[in-house]
Amino acid sequence: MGNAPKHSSGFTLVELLVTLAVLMLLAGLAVAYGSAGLARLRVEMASRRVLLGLEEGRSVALRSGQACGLQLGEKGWQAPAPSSLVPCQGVNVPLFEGTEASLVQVEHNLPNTVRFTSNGLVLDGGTVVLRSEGTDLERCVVVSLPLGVTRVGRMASGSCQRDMGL
Amino acid sequence: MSTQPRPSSSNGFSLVELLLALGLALILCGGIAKMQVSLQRSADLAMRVMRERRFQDRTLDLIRADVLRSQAIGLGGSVTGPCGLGGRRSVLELQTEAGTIVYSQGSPPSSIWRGQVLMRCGPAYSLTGEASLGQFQNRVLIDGLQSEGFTAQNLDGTRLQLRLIQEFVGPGGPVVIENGILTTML
Repeated sequence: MGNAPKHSSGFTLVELLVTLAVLMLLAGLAVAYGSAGLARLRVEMASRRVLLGLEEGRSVALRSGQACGLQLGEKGWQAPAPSSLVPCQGVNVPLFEGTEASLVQVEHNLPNTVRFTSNGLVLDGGTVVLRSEGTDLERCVVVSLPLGVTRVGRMASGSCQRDMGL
Repeated sequence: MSTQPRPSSSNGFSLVELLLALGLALILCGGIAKMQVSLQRSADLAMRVMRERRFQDRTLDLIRADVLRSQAIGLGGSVTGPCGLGGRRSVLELQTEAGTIVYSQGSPPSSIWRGQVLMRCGPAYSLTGEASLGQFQNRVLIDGLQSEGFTAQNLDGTRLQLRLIQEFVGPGGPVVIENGILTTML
């Protein structure tokens, strides 16, 4: 039996190092872009849930034919503190899942109770700002009354600017 | 049994072969990702058009309710009502018990709105959804309108044709969304 040529017995050290370097480069890129992407996704999801809660509150008021209210708390849309206005039944929309709560910051100037009329109008408006660690993206959601028309933009120079991508 | 050594190429892949395979796999993944992004954009656009149509429906319903409660109607007159129009032009004036409700179209009051906006200077609403007799508010009803994006046309003295035309920048070019209703004039 003849011996196999020396160069076919496996990879050389140089080949292994080059492969390792390429893999590490790819892994580094994936981690860098992945974590920033996840943070952006967190903010985008939270902004969509702001819109979802508003639509659900409006739908409940329309379906029941009765005015109702919702509160946007630190964690999401919830029943408001006991008042003369009934809460929109069954609406409980968290803005994020599980441990993400500590990573997303919510600020808004909506009143304590956002009121929906029995025919689906929205009596209270304002701006909701969402931020997350790991991304510069600051989403803002503007709620306009009386139709509850919403616009999603990004914070720039201290105000909510429209986002051409939306 | 042969005593010849196997060709070196059958003992494994060379570095060049591995890198080539890796490169091809990356190109394939890139292509799939690009296709997914394109599909996602199409889905987003469809969702957005649906949402804007709902906003258009709500806007037209609100205007119709105001028309039905009005005693006299003006189309694009010089009435400004109690609110400042901020350079916007009046496109519909409705005389009601609470005062004259003025709809105006023009530049948006803040940078979150796009295109031209339609604003309503009229009484606020109560929890029952009825217009109150209280203070007037000037609010944006809808944005993204073309220059003649809102029209109210008197058809025969008894019916009013209301139309909205919005235009947005989509991924493949401008997206135009039209809607309209016919309402009676009392």
